[in-house]
Amino acid sequence: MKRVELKFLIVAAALFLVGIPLWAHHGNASYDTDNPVTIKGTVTEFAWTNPHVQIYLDVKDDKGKIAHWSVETYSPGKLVRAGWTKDSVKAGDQVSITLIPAKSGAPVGFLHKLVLPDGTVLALQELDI
Amino acid sequence: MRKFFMTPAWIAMLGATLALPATMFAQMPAQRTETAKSNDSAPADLHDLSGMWEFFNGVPGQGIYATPSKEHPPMTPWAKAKYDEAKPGYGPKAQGGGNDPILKCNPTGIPRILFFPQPFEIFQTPERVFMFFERDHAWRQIWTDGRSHPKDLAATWMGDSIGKWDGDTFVVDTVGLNEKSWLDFYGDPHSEDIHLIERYKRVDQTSLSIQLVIEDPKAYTATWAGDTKIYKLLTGKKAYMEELFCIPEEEDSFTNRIRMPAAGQKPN
Repeated sequence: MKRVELKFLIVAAALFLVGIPLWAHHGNASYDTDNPVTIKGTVTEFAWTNPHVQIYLDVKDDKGKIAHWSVETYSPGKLVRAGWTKDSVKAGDQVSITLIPAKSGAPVGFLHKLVLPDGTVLALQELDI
Repeated sequence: MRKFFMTPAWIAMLGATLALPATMFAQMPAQRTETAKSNDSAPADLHDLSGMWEFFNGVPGQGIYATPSKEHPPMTPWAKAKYDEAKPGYGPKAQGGGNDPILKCNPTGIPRILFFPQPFEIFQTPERVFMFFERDHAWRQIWTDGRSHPKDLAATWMGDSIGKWDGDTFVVDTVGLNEKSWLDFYGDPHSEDIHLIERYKRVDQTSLSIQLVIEDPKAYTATWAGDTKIYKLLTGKKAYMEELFCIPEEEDSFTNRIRMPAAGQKPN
């Protein structure tokens, strides 16, 4: 458990140093930029559309209850420049997503990083410089 | 792998590969070859602004203040009333949901389009400088043939722009902007009387600085001199722009599925 906490602290510190200023801009007022979370689940839809690409996924908690999460990120063009394609994510993929959650408490978030089942990391261009 | 593309060996290889095609552009001094653009150490042609430039680029502080500058001059009562009506998603009065005109696919307009995460490309000809924006698939022209602004302009989203070089700074003078657009992401208004000055400077091979100066006595009681924004050149595979039209049904879908739940509001 302590190792998990340490990992979380390291990730949180890294996110703070690298990501927060950008999120603070783009995440807009709806998102809690100070408290990123990581969720794991099964993709139900990958919407490659403007103005923002969207990923929908089902996340099961410890008791087997499923929550339907909605995750937004940048426009397709920005994702292409960061190495994504329209086929990067498919329905049925088991993914891990780090996001900043909605302040409203709804299962909605703004994506920071997505890890595919094979370990491939899809991150945003700005955070990859 | 990425680091390889920045090595002298790669640059030399790229240079050799492009040497022949580059000669084809010898009669087009306003254009640059990819060879020169991708070489950070080579001196920049300060009068060449061509290339794809990106505002959200990892430069510390960039992307935070999507406005000419954090502080604006005092607003007139006319502007204050408009500002009070605005419900922006960003800035001092940021809130979820809101009434940003772009949520209904209104054009972003000048100068706000300069603050988007998406890049723009500058293309120079002897008579005009063109700017092509990924956002909205929009473009503008800046006349450099010495003409003045037309009289009796009808106000538009992009306005009428003329440009000239002041030393190493390309100065763009714009009038004729309609007042439907917000000036920035913060909901700051402007009137049709706005006189916008944009100062473009090639700082180095891969950096372009832009400073905005806004004179709009109907909206602000003093001149608004913005701070200096740094735009970075996109090179290699990243020098690419997608189609990004604002499609009302896609925008509405996004609002209902993401924006409203995130803001704690019920979808329409």
